[in-house]
Order: sequence, then C-alpha cells, then structure tokens
Amino acid sequence: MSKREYRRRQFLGYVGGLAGAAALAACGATPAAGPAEPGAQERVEAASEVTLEWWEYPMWEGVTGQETVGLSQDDPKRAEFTAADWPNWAAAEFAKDNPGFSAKVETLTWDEGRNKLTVAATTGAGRPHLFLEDGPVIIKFAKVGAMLPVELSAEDQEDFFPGSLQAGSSDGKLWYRPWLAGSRFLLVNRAIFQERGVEDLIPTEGDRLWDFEQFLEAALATTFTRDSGEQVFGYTSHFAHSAAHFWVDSFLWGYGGRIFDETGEKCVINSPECEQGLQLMADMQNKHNVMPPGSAGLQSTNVDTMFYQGQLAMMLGSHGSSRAIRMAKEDGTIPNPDAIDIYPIMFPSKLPDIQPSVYTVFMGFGQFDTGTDVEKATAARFVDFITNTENAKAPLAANLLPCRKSSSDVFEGDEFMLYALQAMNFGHEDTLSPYYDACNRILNPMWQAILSAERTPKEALAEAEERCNDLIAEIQSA
Amino acid sequence: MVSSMAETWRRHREAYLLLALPLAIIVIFRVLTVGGAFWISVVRYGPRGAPFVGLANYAATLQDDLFWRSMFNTLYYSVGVVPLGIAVSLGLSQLIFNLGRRTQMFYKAAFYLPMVVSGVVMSLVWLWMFDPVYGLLNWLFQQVGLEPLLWLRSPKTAMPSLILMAVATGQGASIVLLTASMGSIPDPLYESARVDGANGWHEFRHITVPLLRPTILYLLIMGTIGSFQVFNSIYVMTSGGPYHATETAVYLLYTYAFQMLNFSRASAIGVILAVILALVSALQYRFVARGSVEY
Repeated sequence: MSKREYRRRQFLGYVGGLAGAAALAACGATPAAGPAEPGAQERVEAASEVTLEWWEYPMWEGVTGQETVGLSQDDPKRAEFTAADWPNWAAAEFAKDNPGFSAKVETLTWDEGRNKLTVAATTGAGRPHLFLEDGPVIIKFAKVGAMLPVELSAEDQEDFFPGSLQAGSSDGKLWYRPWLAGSRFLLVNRAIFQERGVEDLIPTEGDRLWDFEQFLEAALATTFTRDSGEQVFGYTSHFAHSAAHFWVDSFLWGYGGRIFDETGEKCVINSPECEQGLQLMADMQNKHNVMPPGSAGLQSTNVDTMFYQGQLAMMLGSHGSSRAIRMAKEDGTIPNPDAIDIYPIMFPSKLPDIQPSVYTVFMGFGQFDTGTDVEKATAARFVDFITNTENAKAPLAANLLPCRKSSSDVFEGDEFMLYALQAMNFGHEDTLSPYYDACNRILNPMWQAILSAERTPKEALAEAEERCNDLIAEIQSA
Repeated sequence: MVSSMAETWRRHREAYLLLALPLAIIVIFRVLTVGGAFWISVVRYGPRGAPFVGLANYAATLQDDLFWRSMFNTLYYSVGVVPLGIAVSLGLSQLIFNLGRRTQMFYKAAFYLPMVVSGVVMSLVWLWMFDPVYGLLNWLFQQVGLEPLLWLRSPKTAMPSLILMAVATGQGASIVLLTASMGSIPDPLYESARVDGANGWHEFRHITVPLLRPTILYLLIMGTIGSFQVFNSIYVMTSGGPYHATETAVYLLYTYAFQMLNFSRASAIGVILAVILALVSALQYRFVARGSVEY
C-alpha cells in the first residue's frame, strides 16, 4: 500500500477549516433564557422576524385530517401529507396578522417524544418555545422550573372544561393552555354478545352504568370455545404496558378506593376498597378464567390483536377506538369486519352507592422558559391563537375531544364520540396528583404480581403504599 | 530527555497532527461523555443547578431493592445467554466447518441473518411465537404432548424465555468468527492426533477448543458486555415485567432517567454498571487467557 503524504500547509489548512466550522457552530447557540420583561408584548409588533420552535406529536396527517381518508396505507399520495401540515397551516394563519412570524415545526414520535421533552426540560438544552403534552407532565416540568405560567381571560376561564384546567394547574398557576382531551371506558364487541345470545347483558341506558356482578356475568357468558377450537375470552387488558393504570384504576375507584388522599401528596392505596377491586381482577384471572392465561404479561398489541380477531368480548376503549377500528377494518387488519361491532360502556362500580370513575387525559400547549422576551411574548400570543374556539376543533381530525365547551357541538350524530365526551365527566382526581405517573411505575408491577399469584392483593397493596410514599418523600426532598 | 521528545515530535509531527483529530473525537464523544455521566452521578442534576451531593446517589442506589433485583436479573440473563450462546455457537461452528464451502456459506449466512434484522422487528416476531394461547411455541408443545407454558407472561418463565430468544437468534457473529478461527488451526495437529488414535470428540476437546481460546475469550468478554447492556428486547417485549422479573440494570437506568426524571440516580447506576463490567472483563481475561495454547 502506498503512503499518501500530506504537505504541512495542506494539513494546517484542513485543521484551520475544521476549527472555523466549530467556531461558527458555537456562534449559533441559543441565547440564555430569562424571565420576560414588561413591555415585551409591545416589542413583538416592532420585531420584524420571529421564528418559534414548536415540538408537536403526530396527531393526524394533512390540515384537516380528511385528506388521507379513503387512501390505502400504501397509496403513494399519502406521502404528500404529514403530521406537520396542520401546525404549518396554523403558523401561516397566525403570520397573516403577524408579519415576520414563522414556526419551525418538529414532529416528535410517540415513543421517544416525551423522553426528548424531558431531556430538554431537565437539562435546559435545546428547548423549543412551545410543545404539546399532558397536563400532569407539564406540571412535572414546571416543578423543575422549566415552564412559563399561562394567563387566561375570564371568558376562556369559563369556556374550558374545568377538568382540563385542573389537569394543568399547580401551586395556584396554570402551566398550559388546554387543547385536546381523551377519556377511557370499556369497549364491547357486540358481535360476540350476539353470538352468545346475551346482548341484553350490555348496559345501554343513560351513562351505561353497571355493577361488578353484572360485569362478571357478562365476562363469564362471553368466555367460550368456538366449534373451530378457537378460544374467546370475556375480558382482559394490557398489564405489561406502562399505562395499565388506564384501566386497572377504574376497578379500585369502582369500589370507592383511592390511590392518593385529597392533597394528592400521600398514597393511601392500602384500603379494603382497593383490595376488593384487585381481588376481583385476581379472581377473573385465576378463578373464573375469563381472562387469557398469563394476562400479567399482556402487551397492548396482544390485546388489540385478540379483539380485532374476535377473540375478546370486552377491553379498554378510548376516544380513539372508533377511528382505530374503522381504519383496521379498512386496511384489512381486522380480517372479518362483520365480527367486530363496537359499543362503548362504562367501567363497573359498586352501584348505587359508588359511581364509576375513569382515567381522563388533557393535553395542551406549554411554553418552555426559553428564548428572548420577544420570542416568549410571541409564543404566548401564538398559543392563544392555536387554542381558540375554532382551532380547538382541529384535534377532532384525530377523533380526539376538544377542551372547550364552545367547540363541542361538532359531535352531533356521532354516538361513539358523544359517549366519549360523556365519559369525561367520570374523571377521577387521583390522576391529577403530581405523583400519579411516578407511583404507577411502582403500582403496575404490583398488579402483575397479583395476576400471576406472586402476591395477594393485601400483600401487594401494603408493599405498594409503603414504596409509593417513600418515592413521594424522595421526590419532595429533591 | 527534552531534546529526545523534541526530536521525536520533529520527526513525527505530521503523524501526531493527523492523530489529533480522531483523538479529539474520542475525547469529545467518549471520554467527556463518560466523565459527564460520572459528574451527573455526584450532583443532584436539574435545570436550577447541580449541587454536589458526593456519593449520595450511589448510596441511594445501593439501598434500593429494585437495583439489586435488576442486578440479579442482569446476571441471570448474562449467565444464561453468554456461556450457553458460546456452547451453541461452538457446536454449530464445528458442524458447519466440516461441510463443503458453499454449504458453509449458506449456513453462515442463515445464522447471521437475524443479526441484520432490527432488534425491534425480531422482538415482535418472538412476541407472537411466545403467545401462550395463539403462539407457535405452545402449538409445537401441544403437538408433542407437552404442557403449554406462559413464556413471557409469568415471572417464572419470562427471563428464561428472553434467554432462549437471545441464544436462538444471536449466534450469527460468533459462528462466523469461530469458523474463521477453526480454519486457521494447522491440519498437521489433527493428523498427528489421529495417528495417536484420537476420535472426533478428542480432537474437538483437546485441539479445537484450546486453540480457539483467544476467540472464545473475545466472545466471552463482548458477549458479557452486550448482555449486561440488554435493553431493546426488554423494552419491546416485557417492559421489565411481569413483576420486575425481566427488569435489568440498563432498563432500570432508563426508567430512572426517562420515567422518573432522576438523571443523577440513572447515572449512578450507569457508573456502577461500568465498574462491574470492567471487573468482570478483567476476571474473564485473567482466568480464560491463563494457560492459552500457543502453536
């Protein structure tokens, strides 16, 4: 092999070039963040160019979400539409009244988006000006000093659903402007109930409430083996998923149990009510056998697959289920569309004494404490704009619920979404505890331990309460 | 001394300057990041500042039951995957090495194929295979009259299931290396052994395995490091469950960092893991390299 010889001048030239590039890159660093100064608002008008960084989850493709309707998953036309279309459209609309304004939209992924935001919040590096997230997550960011508070007009205060404001409030301040909401409930495959001749077991009146005995009766009636040898189960949901609390908690709340006390700062899960809820779950797995074997390790994809293949009569449902199932029918993921006929109902509870409760979620736009005063003031005005009554209807494109009363008239005639909206009334204040997510990290494995008979409900609850309170103390001391 | 260094510099300065760039890259992207992780582990890291807390994060980590459980799980996984994987690779390599050249190529490619498939895709396929009701493995069990298992869905069988998957799909690189090393063993050694009455097993045990020791040592060290850092399959397939049965040290580190926002504790776990890995590697090197056969 021949050696290539470098001349000294040539080599120093390369080194100099690299050093210059590094120096230029360093000059592009974001200016240090600081509190907004009074009068910054006025300077927005004077500013000629303001570019905001906006991190957004991929909610739907196209501006209205209708652009891709009817296109198959492999249709090349789909490539013309992206999840950044609506954010870009909104920025362009805002720029009409605010010349010089632009937004640099970055679409996060659902898997890693929160990690990325978390790194930005905790390290302070590379923070965008605004982003979309869950209320309690934004509160978590606020607690580490990463957020700017939001001021609402009296009119807005009245128009947003109270739950949505509560979900983003902490220490007497609101940390986001609510934009979209979601609710959880039970999803029934009526086709399996019809197949078993027990359709009358499904509650259909009013809020579609039922008690635990009725629920268990329905689960038992829909657990059977088809002539083909195919096994059908009455109920299950994902335990292995980090979001098992989306549905497990409803079993605790349905017996009157609570995870946190009224302050939301102390775990009180070790109660007879919670034990009852968990005992029912354990019995459904190990005694009544209405849940598939090994439900402790079930992922959400396992559950969806069973439901789509007509092997599961009831599972966790949400505001997005209707759309997801419609799309699965269209693209063939559901092999036999006639075998799936979804109907939303409420989680069971100890009626008539105890009303059911469900997990609700509220997402909104938060503003990181970053950028110049002009950028901060512009970002605040822009967030006002994208959460106004008209723009609050945008998430309907993804079958999500609006957070404004004035935007909720759009579900006329859509029974499924009307019920999803109805279910928002059954939210539980446990979900607003700042420690809810952190404690679920401890609680989910406990549910798995109960299902796999490694722990009794009583043992698991005692251990869970102690560990949750230790964790809360650790977080508070930090 | 000084003049000697100056002379060396004068004679080789272009070489040193050429080495400066890769060295700078190593310093910036390796040394500084490792140093940064250590620094984060001795402070309480947050946007409001990072007050020095000494070894408090290490103390908290060492008092955490979950940490010890995750270390046990990591060790369990490593002890399951690495020796078993090497044994399987050795056996398969021996079988493949005795085949014709084209057939060898086919089998090497076949065993290497899972290595080029995304770990996430592989995990999703195995998720289906492990399904207790609808999965392939239980169907095969039923065909031969065995009781079905819960595989990933029971705390008792979840970790062995992950080990099975890792051993079944992760031997491609080992087989390629081992068969290449087998090709470098001089034939006269086998011929002499045969003259002395050695059979195939004797040849394998007393010639092949001892002469493959450097390759086996390499596989042992790299396999241990890789298995201590297992994450993808656990993230996709079990999320550390059921009931912490598959929660390994790196998965715990991830949850501390990204679910609990405790980067300092996560960094402390990372540093402890790095120290343990360095010690284990040193021990492996000492014991396995001892008595190496030269030829």
